[in-house]
Amino acid sequence: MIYSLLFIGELLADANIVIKIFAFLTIASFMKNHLGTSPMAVVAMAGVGWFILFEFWAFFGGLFVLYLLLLFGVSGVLIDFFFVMPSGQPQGGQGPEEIIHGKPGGGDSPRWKSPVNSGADVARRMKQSQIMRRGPGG
Amino acid sequence: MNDRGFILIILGVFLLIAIAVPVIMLVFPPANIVFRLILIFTIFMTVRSYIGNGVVSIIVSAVLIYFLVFKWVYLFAPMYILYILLGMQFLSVIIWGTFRLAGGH
Repeated sequence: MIYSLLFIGELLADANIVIKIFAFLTIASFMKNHLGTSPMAVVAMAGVGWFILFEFWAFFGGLFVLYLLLLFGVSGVLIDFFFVMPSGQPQGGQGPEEIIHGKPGGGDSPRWKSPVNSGADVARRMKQSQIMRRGPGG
Repeated sequence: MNDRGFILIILGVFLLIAIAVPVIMLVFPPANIVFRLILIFTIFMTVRSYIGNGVVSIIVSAVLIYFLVFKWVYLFAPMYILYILLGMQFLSVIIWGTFRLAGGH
């Protein structure tokens, strides 16, 4: 138990160092791209580095990890999980026909889980515009 | 099955992929060596792309290589493989395939 706790503590300490190094690399690259390699750039790099890596690391560390995750594209995986995966399954048990024609009793507002649906809403709008063009009797 | 069940299954598949990497490295020693070499080159090239050639680049690379390739390689290697799969959008394929195989529509 104590060994495993030490293991976790050591892992977190080393991960902290590695993340700090990557944050330093990001700061250095940013400064080099914007200010070049002049002494002014080195002073600015040292100032910003001290501020981010030591003074407010508790805040910027979490922010940097979040930035890295978004940079890697983890948001795409979340979108896959919560939107793309259950695609084509409207909530409430409505089939495609019911979605296109609308449910009796005014329940014609399908609630799709996916932001990208199968085009049923477009078909419904086209059908509604055709009905409006022809008139209610046509 | 509800969405939470599917998500747990897919997370289980990710975990299997993550566990497979250190298992392969332990079972096949050449794979271990080759993978460590790939990690070393990747780390060095990443650091070089950030701060260019120089002594600082070598020192920073050495520190990162010590931590990531020698000390915590069995933890970092699965993360790197998942990162590669994520970069190639293959995790989306795994999510979709697992969802379909698990009975999703």
